[in-house]
Parts: sequence; structure tokens; C-alpha cells
Amino acid sequence: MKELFIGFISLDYRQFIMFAIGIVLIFLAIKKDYEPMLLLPIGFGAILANIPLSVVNVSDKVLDPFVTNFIQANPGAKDFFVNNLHYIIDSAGNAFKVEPGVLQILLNSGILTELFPVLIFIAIGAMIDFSPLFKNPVMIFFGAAAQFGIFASLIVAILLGFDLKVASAIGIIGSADGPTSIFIGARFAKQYLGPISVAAYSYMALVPIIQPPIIRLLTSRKERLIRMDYKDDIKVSKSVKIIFPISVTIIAGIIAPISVPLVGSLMFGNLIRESGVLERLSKAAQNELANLVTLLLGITIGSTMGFEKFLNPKTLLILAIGLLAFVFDTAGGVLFAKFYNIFAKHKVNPMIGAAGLSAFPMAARVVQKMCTKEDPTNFILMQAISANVSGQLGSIIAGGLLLAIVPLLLT
Amino acid sequence: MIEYFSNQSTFIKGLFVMAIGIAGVFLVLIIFYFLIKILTKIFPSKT
Repeated sequence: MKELFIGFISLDYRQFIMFAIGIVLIFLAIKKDYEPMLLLPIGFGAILANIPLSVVNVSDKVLDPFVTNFIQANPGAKDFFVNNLHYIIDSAGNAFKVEPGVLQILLNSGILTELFPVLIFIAIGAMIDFSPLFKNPVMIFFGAAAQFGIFASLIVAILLGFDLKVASAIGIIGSADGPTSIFIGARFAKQYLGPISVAAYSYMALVPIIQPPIIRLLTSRKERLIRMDYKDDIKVSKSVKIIFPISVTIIAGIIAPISVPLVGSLMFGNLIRESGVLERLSKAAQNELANLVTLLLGITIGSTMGFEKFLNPKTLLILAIGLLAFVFDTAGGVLFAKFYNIFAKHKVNPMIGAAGLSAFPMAARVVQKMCTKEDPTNFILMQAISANVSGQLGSIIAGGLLLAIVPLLLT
Repeated sequence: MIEYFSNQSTFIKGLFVMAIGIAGVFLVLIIFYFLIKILTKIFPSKT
């Protein structure tokens, strides 16, 4: 009889908290239209992962007496079996071989292997048009300045007690770039992959709420009214559009070889788009590939939000530091634009600095909206888009540099 | 240099990552800036 009610008996109040979090994410996606393509699957994945005895993550557990004895004789081997061979060790020291459930299979094969982020990058690359950047190349510097939040929040995370690898994975939330956050998180902090991904995507959705107060705080009305010329008459040749992604891949690959999967897949997608001979593939990457991988990515990320891992003070800290990262990014971009204006002949509207965030096209849209609010006849959208596109390059480079430097310091 | 910093505290390592990271992002994007400038000079639009 007890077996009939095993689901009720196994319920924990923390699972209800996770159901509530999942429902809030779904609410934000449906009612507020905040990144619905991601928040909805993440929210539903969180619900699935917290259903008692759910088989989506673990379909079966088998006691392994040999490994149990081995771990009791060699306690140092416990982490290896847990992290690499999918074992669960209970409080009595018994080792169980875990047969992965459907979402665990997706996690193992799509996220821990970094396949999904790479596929998403191909799709994003196929969607990016670098033309506005080619017309305003100077905007590329704002894409660099707005990565300040990654490194500033890395320091904050270290000060709050996280080790260098985990702090780097938390800092990368400031890249405002979901796939990069997942890529770095899967390498440096598998145990915090859920909160890191949720923070990255949620704050990207909340850019219209996070950025304006910081921009207003750091700029005067006079600065926000600055007009910028846009060289719309400049035409960019097809050769430039084709050579650029190839050159970027080679240069970034030589400087930080470990960043090649990120940069290479983004630029591959862009090359498909710009080549002009692969229209079908370009459209498939922009639509079918992007939609399918986003769907699987969202629900798989949600499935990492099991209550045991998610509901702890460190998760709250990660969410708070992630928010700080976006604040630092915005401040870094705006302050850099003000610094640039000290020397520049043609002043830029310092709000452009905030568009250097990788969140595309939200950051550029926020800047134009604020600009229109100050002066309905002032249009800086194309410059903001240029900075925004540069931010995508900047965030990947920053991620690649973290992947390259951090392991060197830990050897 | 890497050896020196790998023996320092986590905070110092973090500062090193920050310095190299910010400088590195700027450096790479400066290279891309010149790349765009050169490419648009070499291959001007014919239309």
C-alpha cells in the first residue's frame, strides 16, 4: 500500500519552492514576454527535475558492491566516481551506479560535451549582420569596455569565498551571453551550471529594467542628448563580409586556441550567411537549428535545478553577483564612452557604451528607447547595434581568455 | 610570470585574470578594428 503513495511520501517542502520558481519563470515568459524561448523551457525543466522520484534525471540506481568497497578503502576516489562515472554515494557510503534518465542523457551529451552551446553559436552567427560595425568600426571598443563586469564580478565572487574556477564561471554571467556562460560553466563549475545559466538568461531578459537607472545615474541630460552621425551611404563589399569571419577565427584561434569552438562556430554561422551560396543552410541555422537546440537547451538547463543543488545560500549569492556583473558591464561601457569623449573630435552619446553588452538586440534597443525619450528626433540605433554586435565578439573573446588563463594559474 | 602568480593567493590570481582579461579583450578587438579598416580599404564596395 505504501508503494502506491511513494510520490507523496517522498515529497520535500523544498520541491514546492522549486515548483514555485519554475512557475514564476513560466509566468515571466508568458505574461511579461521575458526571453520566453528560454525561460519557459527552463521553468518547465525545473518542475520536471523536482517531481519526487522523477525518472527524467535518474532512471535507475543499482548498488555496486565492488565500487562501495573500493571507495571505503580509498575515500579520495569518491569525487572521481561521482563526477565522472555517474555514481551516487549515500550517507552510509554505499555506491550506486546511476542509469541516466532522458534529461540527464541530454545534459551529458549536449551540455557537458559543450555541443549545444556550439550549435547555438552557429545559429547566432547566421543571424548576425556585421555591416553596421563595418560602417562604424570605432564602436568595437565599446564592445570591449562593456565586458568589465565579467572581471569585476569575478573579483567579487573571490571576495565572497568562491575559488578561482567557480568565480570565473560566475563572472562570465556578465558576458550577457547564454551559450558562453554555459560553455564556461560546464568547464569550470558543473555543480553551479543551473544557477549560472538561469542568471545569465534571466538578466538578459531583464536588461530593459537593469540598464536605464545605471545609465541615468552616470550621464547628464546634456550627454544623453548628444547626436551622432551615421554613415549610411558607406557600402560594404561582399569580400569584406566573407573575409572578416575567416580572419577573426584565425586571429582569435592563434591568440587563445581554447576559444576556437566558440569563435569558430559563431564565425562559421556568419560565413554561411554572408557567402550568399548557402541560403538554405543559413535559413536552417537561423530557424530550425536555433529553435531545436534552444528548446533542448532550455529544458536541460532547467533539469539541473534540483532542489538539493539549487536551494542553498550559494545559489542566491551567484544570482546576486550575476546581477552585479550586468551593473558593472553597463557602468564600464558608459564610463568608457565618457572617457573616449575627452579625446574624441566627434563626441559619442555615452549611452552607446551600455549597448556594448552582448545581449542582442535588447541592449541596443534600451539605448535607443532612452535616447528617444530625451529627444524624439535623435536616432542612435545603428551605432548602438554596432556596439551591441561588438559586445558579442567581446564576450566570446573574454570567455576564451578565461578558458586560457585560469587553468594556467591552477597548475 | 604565470609561475609567480600561480603561487599567489586566490585574490591576487583574480586580479591577474582581471588585468590580463580586460587588456586581452581590448587588444583582440583593436586588432579586429584594424582588420576592418584594412579590409574595407582593400575591398571597397563597387556599388
